[in-house]
Amino acid sequence: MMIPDERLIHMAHEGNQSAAEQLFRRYHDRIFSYLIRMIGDRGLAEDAAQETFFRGFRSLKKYREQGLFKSWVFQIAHREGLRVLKREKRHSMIAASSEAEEHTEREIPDPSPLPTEVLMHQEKTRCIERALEHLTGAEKQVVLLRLYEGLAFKDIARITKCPLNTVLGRMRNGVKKLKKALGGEDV
Amino acid sequence: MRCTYEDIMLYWSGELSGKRRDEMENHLKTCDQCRQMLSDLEALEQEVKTLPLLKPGKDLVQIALEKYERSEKRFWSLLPVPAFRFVAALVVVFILSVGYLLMNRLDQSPRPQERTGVPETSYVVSNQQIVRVQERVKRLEKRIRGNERKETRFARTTRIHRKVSLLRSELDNLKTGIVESEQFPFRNTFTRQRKKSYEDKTFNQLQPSHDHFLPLSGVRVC
Repeated sequence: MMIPDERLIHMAHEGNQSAAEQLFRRYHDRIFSYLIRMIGDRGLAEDAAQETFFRGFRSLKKYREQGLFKSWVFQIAHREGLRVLKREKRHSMIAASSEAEEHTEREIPDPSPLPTEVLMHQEKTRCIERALEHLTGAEKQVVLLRLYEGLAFKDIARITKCPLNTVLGRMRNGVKKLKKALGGEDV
Repeated sequence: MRCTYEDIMLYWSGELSGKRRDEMENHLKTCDQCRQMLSDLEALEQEVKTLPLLKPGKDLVQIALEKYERSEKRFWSLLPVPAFRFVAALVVVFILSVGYLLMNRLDQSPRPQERTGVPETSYVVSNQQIVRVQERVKRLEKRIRGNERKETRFARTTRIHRKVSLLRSELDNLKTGIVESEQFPFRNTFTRQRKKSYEDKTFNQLQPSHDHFLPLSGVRVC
């Protein structure tokens, strides 16, 4: 049975280091996936994710439950991602898709589906990654946080430090571009 | 109901409040366009969710945890025994308290003029300044004598008397200051503004007193 986040946070506040580790390990891949799609470089995404977890460990003592823990971790990750982007001045997302494609090919672990199904899945993923390239950085962040991570718009507004209407506007534009790109590629 | 795309998005993410949500549900029953937009959003969500979860090549949480533990231990590793830590903390508190007390004492120590009992301007002297004040006193006395002859108005003469008495006291102070400044040579500058402000302050504070007036004939003092 999976221990809820709140319980792990409570245990971490009491000084249980392994509870804190378990808590962050839950978001290990999600944070990395978000950052690699945001930054577009594997090495930089790893650096940003590592820094996110480091800051998370450091600030966990001060964390008070105000909404989801997930949105709190993503807030740190988002800030780290922006910091890395600013440092590297790399707003291009070109590398993201190639990196993601590379991983997609490598990380289809289930051997049971038929080769045609695997190929179709890979093709579909590639199409979505390509469609995401049409979005601006800010639109892509909102779209990924809402569609991929399933966070509420209010949480996204808190993470990106933007008004709710700005987030909704970015989502609207992002969805529009995404639908156009996916429709154009006939997915 | 006036329906916007933003409302549909908020409804889709479950963020509309009770009343608005009910309105939206009723609206969706009748509006095909809004229903279509909602189903498009849901379909898009399903498609994006098929994106694979990417894995880093190393255990980033472990690396971050090690880094965090190193940073936590950096200071305290110098003092491994808890008793030493307590003593170190006490020493730091003691040093800080002593520093604070010393600072307070320095702040409360008397300023040079408080120590000497002489006005600040009095020990800031030079021969030129004394000569200037003397000349000014002479000029004013001359004016007083001239005014006496002309039998000018009382108020003006009184003002001049006050000025003369002030300047005389200033002169005395300056002369005293020569001796004091040798004892406490703290300040060797004398700005015109400070001198002026001191004069003005003293002049304004000076109450009419018979002692301050020169014995002049023909002037009525009240």
